[in-house]
Parts: sequence; C-alpha cells; structure tokens
Amino acid sequence: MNIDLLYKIESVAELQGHEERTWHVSWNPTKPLLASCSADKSVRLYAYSELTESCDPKFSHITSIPTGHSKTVRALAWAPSGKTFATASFDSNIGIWEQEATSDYEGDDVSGGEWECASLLEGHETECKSVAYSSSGTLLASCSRDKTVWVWEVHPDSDFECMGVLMDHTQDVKCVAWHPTEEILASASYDDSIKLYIDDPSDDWFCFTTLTGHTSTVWSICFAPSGNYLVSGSDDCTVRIWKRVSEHQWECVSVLEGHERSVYSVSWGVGKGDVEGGLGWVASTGSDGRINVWELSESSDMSANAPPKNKLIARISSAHGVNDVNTVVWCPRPGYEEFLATGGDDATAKVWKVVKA
Amino acid sequence: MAFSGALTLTDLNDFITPSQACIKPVEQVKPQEVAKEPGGASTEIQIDSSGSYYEVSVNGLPQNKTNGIGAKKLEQAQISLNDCLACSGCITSAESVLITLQSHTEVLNFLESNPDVSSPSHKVPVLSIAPQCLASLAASISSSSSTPITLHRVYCRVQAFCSQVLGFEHIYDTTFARHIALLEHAQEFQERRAGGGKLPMLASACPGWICYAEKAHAEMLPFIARTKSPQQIIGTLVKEWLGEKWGKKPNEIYHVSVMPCYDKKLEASRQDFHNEIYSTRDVDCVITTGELELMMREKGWDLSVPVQDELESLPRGPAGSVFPELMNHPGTSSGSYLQSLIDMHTSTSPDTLDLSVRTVRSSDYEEYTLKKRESGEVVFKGAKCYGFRNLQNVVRKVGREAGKGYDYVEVMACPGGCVNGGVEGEMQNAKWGDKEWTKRVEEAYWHNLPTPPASPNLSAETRMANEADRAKSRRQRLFRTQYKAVESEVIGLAVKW
Amino acid sequence: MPGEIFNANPTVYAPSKPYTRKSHLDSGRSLWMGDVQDEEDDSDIEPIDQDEIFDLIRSIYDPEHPNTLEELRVVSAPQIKVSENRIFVEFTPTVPHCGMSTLIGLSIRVRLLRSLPDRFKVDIRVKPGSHQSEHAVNKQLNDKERVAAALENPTLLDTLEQTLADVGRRGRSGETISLSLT
Repeated sequence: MNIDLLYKIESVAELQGHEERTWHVSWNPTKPLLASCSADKSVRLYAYSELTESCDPKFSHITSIPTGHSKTVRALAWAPSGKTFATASFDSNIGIWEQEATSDYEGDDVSGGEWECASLLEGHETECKSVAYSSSGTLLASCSRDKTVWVWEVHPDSDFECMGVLMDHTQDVKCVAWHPTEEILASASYDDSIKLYIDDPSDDWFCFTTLTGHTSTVWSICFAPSGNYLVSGSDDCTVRIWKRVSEHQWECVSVLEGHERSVYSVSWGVGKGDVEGGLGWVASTGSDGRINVWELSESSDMSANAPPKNKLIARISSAHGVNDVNTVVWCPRPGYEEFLATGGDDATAKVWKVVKA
Repeated sequence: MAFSGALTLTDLNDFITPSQACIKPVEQVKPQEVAKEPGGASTEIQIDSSGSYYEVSVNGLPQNKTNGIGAKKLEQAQISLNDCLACSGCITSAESVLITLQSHTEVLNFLESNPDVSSPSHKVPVLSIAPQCLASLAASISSSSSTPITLHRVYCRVQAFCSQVLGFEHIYDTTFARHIALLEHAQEFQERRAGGGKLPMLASACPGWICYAEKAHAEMLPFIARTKSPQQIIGTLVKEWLGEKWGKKPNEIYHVSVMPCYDKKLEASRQDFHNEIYSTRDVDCVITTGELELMMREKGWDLSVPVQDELESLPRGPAGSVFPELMNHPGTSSGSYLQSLIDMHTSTSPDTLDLSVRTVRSSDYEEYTLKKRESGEVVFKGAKCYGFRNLQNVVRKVGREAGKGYDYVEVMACPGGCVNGGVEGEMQNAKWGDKEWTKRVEEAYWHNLPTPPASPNLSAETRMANEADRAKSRRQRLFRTQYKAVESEVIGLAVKW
Repeated sequence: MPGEIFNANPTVYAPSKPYTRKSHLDSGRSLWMGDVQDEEDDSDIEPIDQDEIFDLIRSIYDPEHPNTLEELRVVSAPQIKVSENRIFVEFTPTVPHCGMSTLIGLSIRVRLLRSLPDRFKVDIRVKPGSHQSEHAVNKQLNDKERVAAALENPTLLDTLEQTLADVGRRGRSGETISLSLT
C-alpha cells in the first residue's frame, strides 16, 4: 500500500499476544528489548536479535507481566538506564518495575529475573494517561484526566518524592514528554494546548509557556533529538512543528497535513537521512490507520522562527488492518534509526523499517 | 484538584452541565406527577430573553397555574453544602457553594434582621478574628517601605468597626483558643506516645488537609490529631462557656469568625460542630479577611485611620476582655503546633536537648530533630510540611514507614502556611502564592508582638489536667473531634467520565 | 431515581414500524464474528444502510425514562449517515441542558461498538444547536480514550447495561417479540 515516495515502510515483525487493544509500545534504550502495554492490563516484553548486514532483527516474546493494575495499562516508559520501566494505568496509579536480581549470571541480561513492581505512585485522582523519565533518569513525570501533571524525583531504592503538582491545564492531560538534554517538561491536553515547564531552583516547577494552535485535543508530543523542536499530533488531524525561537519561547512553525482522522501518536527520531542540515525523521499515526514519515531539515533561512524544510518520505496505509494505530515510536538505539514500532486496536504490536524505495 | 487558593469562583447561577466539575446530581423539588397518556400532551422547554428556561406544554396550555404567564420557570441548580461534604467527587469545590451560604452578605442580612436587644428573639452577635487576618490587614495598610503597624492597632480598629458600625456585641481574637488547642494538642501527643494512638501525629488545624485526607487518603485519618482547630475551640468557648456566663443558649448567640482561608467555612459546617439540640453551629458563619475588608469598604471605613484609645501594644495587667488577647506562640505563623511540642520536650526533659533543623528543598518542608546533648539520642523528630506537593510526600512517607520516621508533622495545605491561606492574596489583587505578599503578611504577623513567654506552660497544665478523669472527659468532649472517610456514593447516571 | 430529572415530562412519540428487511446484523453476534462460515468472503457482505444502524439503536432506553430513544425522537434514521467504512450518528437531546447527553451518546457508541464489525469508524454528535454544551459533549463522545476508560468504570457500565437491556427488540414491542418466539 506504499505510495510513490523516496522511502518505503517494510514490515519486520508482527507481535501478537495481547488480548485487547495495544495502547503503547516502548523500546528499551540500552538493550534489545521492546515492551508493549494493553487494555488487557498486561505488559509484554520482546527480545530481538541484533541487526546484521544480512538479517533484520528477529523478535521473540520473552515474558508477560500481569502488572496487577486493576484497569488498562495506558502507557509505559523505560528509564534511560534501561533497567527500570514505569507504567501509567487507568486505575490512576503509576507502577515502577524492576527486574529481580539474578545472582548467578551476568551474561544475557535481557532475560534475567522476574519483573516486579518496586513502587506504586499514588496521587492522581483519575486515569493516568502517560508517563516519562527525564533524560538523566532522575525525574519522572505523569499526567491524568484529573488535569494535573506530577513531577517525581527518583530516589535510591525505588523511593520517589513528589516535586511538583502542576495544575495549569483545564482538561484531561494526554501526554507528557521530556526534553532530550535539559530539564524541560512538556504536556499535551484535551484542552487543545501544550504546556512547557521548568524548575525554579528556589521554588517549584512552573509552566513557563503555553503553546496554542491546535483546534482540538493534543494527543501526543515529542521533542526533536536536537532539542530545538517539538512535534505534536492532534485530534484536529494535523501534526505541528514547534521551534525554540529563544530560551523560553517556542512557536509553531509548520503544520503538516496528511491524516484523515485523529493523530494519536508522533515520534521524532534521528533518522537515516542524508539530507543536508537534517533534523531527523518524524513519524505520525492515528485513527486513519496510516503511518506517515517526514524528513525534517534546517531551512537555509537563518531567522529564528524560520520553519524547517519538511518532506513526506514514506507512508503506509492500513498499518494495522482496518484498526486505529495508537502509538508509533522510533527505536532510540544507535544503529536502529530506521526501525519503528507501532501498537494498534487489533491488539498487536508491529515493527517496521523505513528503507529506500 | 484544587485547594482554595487555586479556586476560581464560578458563577453558580447556571444549570449544571456536563462540563462542570460537580458530579452530584442536583436535588429538585419534583413537580407533581401528572398522569400521562402514552403519546399524549407533553411539554417543551423554552428560553426567555433573560436566559431562563421555561417549561411549557406543546399545545400552548399552561402546564400549571403557578404563575401568570402559563409557564413554569425551571429551578436553578442548588447544591447544598452537605452534598459537597458527603461527596467524594471533587476535593474542595465545596467552597464555591459556601461562598453563597457563608458570605459577608449573609452576615449583613443577619445583623439587619436581628431584633432589638429588648426582644426575646434577639441573638447576641459575636465576632472572632484569627491573628493571620490581622496580619494580612496590617500588611495591606502599610506601604511596602514602612514597617507594618502592629497587630494590636489593627485589632483595635477592627474592634471599633465591628462594634460601632456593624453592631457586634463581643469581639475576640482566636489566639486564646489557639492556646487551648496547643495544650490539648500536646496532651493528645503524650496520650498517643503512651500507646493511646498512632504516631506520627499529624496536625489537625488545616481544614483543607482534613477534607483532602477524608476524601482521598482515609488511611491517614488515624494519624490526624483529634484536637479541634482554634476556630472550633473559640466556637465551643463562645457558645458553651460564654453563653452560660451570659445566660444565653447556644442558639441565642450568632457567632461569626474571620479566617484567612475559605476552607474554614467548610470546617464550621461539619456535622460534628453542629449542636443538634439547639440546631445551631458553634460558628454560625465564617467570612474571609477579604470579605471583612469588603464590608469595611462598603461601609466607608478606613482601616488606615487610627481609632480612639488605640494602643501600640497590649496593656500590661488585666485587660478588658474575658480572654487573654493576642497571645503569642513562637514558631510558625500557621499556629506553632510543631514548636509547642518541641517546647514541651525541652521544658520537661531532665536532659539538655539540642534542636537541629534541616530544610528539605524549601522552607515549606523542614525537619526538626531534638537530641539529648550527652548521648545524642533522638527524643523527638518532627516536620513542618506545607503545600499540596509536600503533603503528598507526607502521605507517602507516613504510609510507608508509620511509626519509624517522624513523631509529629505540622501539615498545612497551602504553600507558605496560613499567612497564604488562599484568600489573603485577593485583597491586593495579587495572585495566590505571591511570595512577596506572603512575606509581608508574615512580617506583620510577628511584628511587635509581646515577647514574654506566652507559649503555654505545658508541663504544669497538662499534669493538672491528668489529675481528674472527669475533667479529662469534659476536655475531650469540648476540645476534640473526629474524622470519617468519605465513601464515593456516585450513582451511575452521575459518573463523570 | 435519586437526583435531578433533566426533563421530567418528555414528549413520547409512537415508534415507527419495525424494520422488515432481513438483516444480517440480526443478532448481537454478527456474521463478522465468524458464526457463518461461508459468508466470510468480502463480496458477500451486503452494505449496511442507515435503517439498519437505526434498527440497532432505536430500542436503547433513555437513562432517565422508561422510553426508548426512538420514542423520544432522540434518534431517527435520517440522522444517520453511512459511507463505506464510516458511520455518522446524530442525536437530539430532549432538552438543551440535558445532563444525560453524554450518557445517551455513550450508549449509542457502546451499542454500535458491540454490534458492528471493526472496520467501521463511528462518529457521534448531538444535533447542531440542540445542546448548550454541544462542543463539549461531541468532543467527549469521540475521544476513544475517555470512552475506553468509561467502560472500565463498573458503576457507569451498570447504568449503560440498563439502557441497553432491550436493544434486541429493534423497535418491536415486547408482545411481538414473544409472538415471534412461539
């Protein structure tokens, strides 16, 4: 179903096993592991063989974690160390998962011991929608339909301290995301806005700017690897690119069209492009079942708010058959820049690669 | 979830719509059921020019004859305070309801309709004001450069306004009630430490915190001190003790308190503080500092002008009031609960104790540790913990390591404590949480208060209290209260999703 | 029922005739669930029309009255649009301040979710101008995450099941049903 573009999206693996819709997938940042979570309240972990010249990675299911969450596991995030992950559930809790220490061997640590809930973060009043670790791994953010965003500090021994409860949104908060290098937090909401927060060292976390432009729910946000851009996907069927025009100022510089229904997920990866001034690849997906991949590159115009160049380089329709696609994520590991994972209402997780057409 | 400070006063003159936060289905006086034939005549809703909804029958005949225009005005949504207190739907949106039930207009209406002293149905109007309110008023009339005027001067002026202009017969400040609260608090702490309850003990004076705990963290309730807050102690003192002195029954007194916080309205409305026999509350109406200031403005009273016989500070020796006035309790401007326990330890310990203070991230979270100088043994570990964020950490910590960490935590829902009680900012049109403003109120609060050891001499008095069991049970009845978890009783039709 | 009745005296209309065309959606379990082996071939799938969709939702009960959505004219066939893989349902709340609108919309969504094959994307809206919180109601009804979470709320689900108790009647009265069963 690929249309005539520079690249095409090829299927690498189709991972079945969830009993209900797959809401979210997450690549382990350090190890060959992929995790998925679902309305069936479980998390599934898949290991993959390392990529070789001749052979794509092979995925195999290694474990299912029944989580103990009493409702849907909506989102999941790995800590930068790759040793811990957090789950956000409709039961209003955040779970922190660690692998039981296996004393005897060090070798293949993708299997290792059982995954256990090391901590449960309570505080949200209603469904948690998203969770994210900061780049240093010292902070964790979560958000909920209760309109709040919480920032937690990660302490040793799976202890957490609440550092901030941000009540700036007027509606359901759908997604939280951290800047790749700085401690800047972004949140996206049913109130159609995106908010950015920083820590005032002498005080609390606070919202320093609100990005408006989307005309309906903002479902998903992701910072560019460079940290100078942010991408968002919305129920208004558009994908927007926001640029950091000065230290604390972000502006919408591009509106990308190409979806016919709600955009549920966006991801900004390093990409494998060879274009000059490349900013990486943006993938988007949603209720229309389509995956779009855009190549972004710096404009020759040097002004602060000049939009980057964008070009749709690959597209696939009906990525999960007739079903909605709920999530798309680029693999963050070096060497795997062209790999994408998706999760859909058909209860599967899929792995794709973007290759020259 | 919003505490009072974050509250925006929404217009309640509206029909409940799905976009509003309240999940409580609204009680309405049901019209008499008219036997209806299937497919028969029925009604439509029409909207008039004022935006009111009318129910009219489709064939144009009036649905009933209650008014001349052949249509019945539909009732507007009314949520009673008890709905809010009994509901776990939101945390403290009850304030918006309370604004109408307990407002300065309500106070003025009462005063206006109160029959003359000679009439048997005359009620004695009494007003009690919290010291944080006086500090806030002092800060508001002092320019930022000058030193704030003393609390006592402000108190004199408030007294003059309330008696001369509004007609209150008795005016008190709540510091004596706080003094009793601190004593009772210390007493309760010792009971708990002796095995009569759980530790750490958590402060009970902040109604925002109590409300949140009852609705969201029932597991915290056994830790919360059962000592009444100063507001409720002054309520008891006025209605029971003074009432008896005056020969007045509780319902023959109208007691207004002026508080730095909206949630105090909620506290006064609790069932526990309602006298069933006389169907009256210990505090009939709570108004905020802002509302008091508004009344002054409306009556053309200038608080910056000194009144006759105004004194810089308290006169030494017997004062005119039945209570000691403007008692100072060193510690925090949120009531010095933690400090009074520290003082109790240092004054009763046979060993020399050293206090160390550790600030955890900000002044809103501080740990206080008392150690024996000789042995280094920790005899008491407490913390003050203000604001929603820190409150979360207390909840986590207490839940995880009950009994191992702190002995006592002074919990307050507002960052900065009671001098930033959510309503103080509105006086200056400042945003709630304005650090500068809070700082000025804090300065005014401590400015030129008497320094002598006004802090209660706990050892002597608590010992006395222990001597008689009868006295103890009386104290408990008068000065303690209880909490109960609020269970969600949301019906299917009203679930917010 | 405790609480406020948003519209205490709604207009009740006589239902239209039951839909007579032999429907392949005749049971809650449709042929897409795989109960009819030899019809799995795509070419055998008859297109679904608005009457059939109407038939699925006409007997949903109003949450606060013993009447169906059809009897209250909350739903009607002309307010339904069907294209290849899209279904659009418009409904009309009985009063503009109806607090039950999201619940009615949710009942319609759940009914269609349970009876239609996966390939249909369903959009549900209140009739333009018929509700004072039109935008809010529409937004909530079409947020799949909110809907999914709602269906995990046991109290709400109970209420929904009550509204869907007799959806199988598809406009027929109770007597007709018992007749056809004998």
